[in-house]
Amino acid sequence: MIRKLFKSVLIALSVASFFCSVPVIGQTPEELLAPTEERPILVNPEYWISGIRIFSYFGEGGDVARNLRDWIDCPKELYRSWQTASRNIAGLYAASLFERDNPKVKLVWYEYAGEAAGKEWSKVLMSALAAGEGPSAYDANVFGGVATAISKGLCGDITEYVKNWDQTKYLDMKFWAPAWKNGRCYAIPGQAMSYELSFFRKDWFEEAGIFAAEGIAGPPVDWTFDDFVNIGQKLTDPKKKRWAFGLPVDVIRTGWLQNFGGFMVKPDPTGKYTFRSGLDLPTTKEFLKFYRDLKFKYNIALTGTEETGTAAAYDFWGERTAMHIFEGTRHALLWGRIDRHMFGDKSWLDTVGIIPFPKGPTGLQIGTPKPWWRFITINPVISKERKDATWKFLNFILVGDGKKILAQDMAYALNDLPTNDIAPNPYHPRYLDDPNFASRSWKETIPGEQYREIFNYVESLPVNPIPDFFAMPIMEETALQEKHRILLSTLLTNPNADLDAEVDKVANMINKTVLNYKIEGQTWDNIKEWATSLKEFYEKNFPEQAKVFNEIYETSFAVWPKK
Amino acid sequence: MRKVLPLTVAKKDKFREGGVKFKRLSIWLFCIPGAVVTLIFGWYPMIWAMVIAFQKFMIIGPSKWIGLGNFSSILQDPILPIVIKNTFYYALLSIGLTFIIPILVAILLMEMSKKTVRIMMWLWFIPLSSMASIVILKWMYNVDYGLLNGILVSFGLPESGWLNDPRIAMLCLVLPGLIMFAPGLIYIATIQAIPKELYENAHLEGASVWQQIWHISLPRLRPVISMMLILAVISNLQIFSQPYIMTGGGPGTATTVFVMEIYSQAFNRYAFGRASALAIILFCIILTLIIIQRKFVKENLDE
Repeated sequence: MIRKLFKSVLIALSVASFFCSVPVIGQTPEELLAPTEERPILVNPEYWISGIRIFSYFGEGGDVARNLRDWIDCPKELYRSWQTASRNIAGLYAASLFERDNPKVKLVWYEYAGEAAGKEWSKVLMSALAAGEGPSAYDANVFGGVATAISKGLCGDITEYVKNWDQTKYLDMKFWAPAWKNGRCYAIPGQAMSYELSFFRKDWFEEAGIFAAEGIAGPPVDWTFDDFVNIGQKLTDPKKKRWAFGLPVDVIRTGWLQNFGGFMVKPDPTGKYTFRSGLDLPTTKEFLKFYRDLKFKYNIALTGTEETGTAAAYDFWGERTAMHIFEGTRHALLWGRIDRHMFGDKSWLDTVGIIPFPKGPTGLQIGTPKPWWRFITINPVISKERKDATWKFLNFILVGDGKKILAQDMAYALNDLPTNDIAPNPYHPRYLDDPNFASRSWKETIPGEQYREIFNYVESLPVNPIPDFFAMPIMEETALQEKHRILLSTLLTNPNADLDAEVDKVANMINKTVLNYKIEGQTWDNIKEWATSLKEFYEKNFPEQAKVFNEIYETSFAVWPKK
Repeated sequence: MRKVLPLTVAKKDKFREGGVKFKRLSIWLFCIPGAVVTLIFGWYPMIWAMVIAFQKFMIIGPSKWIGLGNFSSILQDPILPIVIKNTFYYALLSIGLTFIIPILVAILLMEMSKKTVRIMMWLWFIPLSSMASIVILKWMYNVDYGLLNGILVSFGLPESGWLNDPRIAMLCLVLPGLIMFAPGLIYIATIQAIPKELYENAHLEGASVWQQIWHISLPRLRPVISMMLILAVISNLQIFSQPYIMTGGGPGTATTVFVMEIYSQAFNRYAFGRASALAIILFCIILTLIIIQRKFVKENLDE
């Protein structure tokens, strides 16, 4: 009897649900997309900007968000980023405004449940592009760097658009260079000016009696790597399952490397190739030796072949390590809300502090080590109309009214004035020229004296005159990183491995494969220009480092033919 | 005199003829979905990979024919001999441990009570979710806070480097295979199908347990062993998930295997031509091994 009753209910529910769905089933796509009272926009699928990928860089720092342990628990709608734009009112409002002003355009959101820059997304994107169904605009860096994407034909030529663009004057060519090939432009920057910093556990520092000043737990801002080791030894206690630091084997920390005066690549003295591996430079080797000593000499690092960047982050959040490197974007909303975050069940501000990287052996401490990354490109195979519409939308969201909506929306979230710098990109939003638009600096949103001081300190540091890789593209960044992993995972797991021999082996591997190319248009002059500018930078700001660099300059960098 | 068949028989034949036709048709109908899937997901990618291997393949836009360019580029890559050596090392270790041991265990299990066999089969079925096992094992191997070193320390033994030790890292990758007892289950099923009378007669005629195994169990397992060996060679030479998840190919290049390099060429370097060329080299290696295996391992019980 009960079984029969249950069966009848199931059948009744099935029939009811079918009839409920009939109105939708019965409609054609045209009918579904036709203008309605709620959506009075004429949709012409031919002009769809299908899938403007909604990455964090259009809005605010996904990097910091990823580093905040409890960000997932925060109300998502407060993150006014394009990553979540399709789910928040500001994003939808901006989109509908754009659609209203461009009646032939329909914005379609591509949602991808995963890390925006992750490997999985690159595969999804690649398949879509190969099938001719790719989005109109996307992050070129997901293909292992913008240069790789350009060389594989995955970036559209946008030279005509950027030629007369009012924003080009804000873009420094030496950072933009990787997005150009043979005088043609293929991408524009999507994210910039992130600071590589470290988180540290204030409570553990206090427990170990390490104070930057009286009553302020933490290291001093101008600390050295020697200080780092001393502090690390005080914090490490394997019995308590506590270590100073999670040392990943899959990535060389460029900020640390730069403070040691090391380089991942160096110019090719023969001129046959653009670069040769910089692993065998004395300063790079010194850095690698230090890396290794953290594990085998000082025993303060948690590392191993399975210790990836992600695992190192989990070690920090899992309360196994006292410090962790992160990229601190100029993300007003996140910093502005940090007082409301929790670290586990403890207050974030009381538990986690931020600190710049230690000074290198000669006192080198460089600010803003990662000026630009992530480049937005336009799908090369879409029609001219869609390209035009996409470029219009990028303008709208990067510097136009879309950006203004996000700024206002964030101000609402912060319960304060709009910040003048909501997203860490190098542009100058047009609303800033409006005298009636009240705004304030992103730094004013940061609560906590310590956080503000650190950002002020980092901004006061001299900035390297040339970006990573000397404003020339590395054709296969991911592959280069993969080779570095081979070296690091050997050095950080085998105390008996011969550093020189391992460096030579991997450098040889890199030279034969990843750096086996010469960039078109490269001349001795541009190599001379960046090498000399770096020499002058050291001489002016870091005289001790200049002495070290001059030797490298003479032996490895001054490769151009002598007149 | 013309032989007249009874009406009922003629009708029956006609019916049978129709039945045969229907049967044939239904066989084809049942085969078509499988055949289509095999063509689309099996043959098409394989043929396409063979084409791409000779091209500078572009995801968007026309690709360029470059002849043997991809193969020559691969042969100059210092990683190639390393991955070949590692792949064969893994395959030998894996076949040695996870192929032979299950045969022995399955045979020995049949000497035990039915209840024991049932319990053991249950125990071996549980860890069949290989991905979960790999992820769990990765953390069990952790040198600093992993379970295995914890056990060693609690017994006063020195800690091991596990995945961080290039000498044993590959062995650590193979070990999870021992608890994935899928081949063992197949052997148990095969042995259970051997008529009991054969063992009873052998026992009556004074054959020992080992003689029964050698003369009855093993010969009857031979076709299955032969097939499983082919599958084991194919799967072990194509190993990917264990090293990819557990070591990322490290320490150094100690666990970098062939398919990881194919993956890296395709999805880290976007060099699909080189990746396909590598895949073809692997295909040729596996094919050669299978031809050799088919030639030397006899399947027929009477041979």
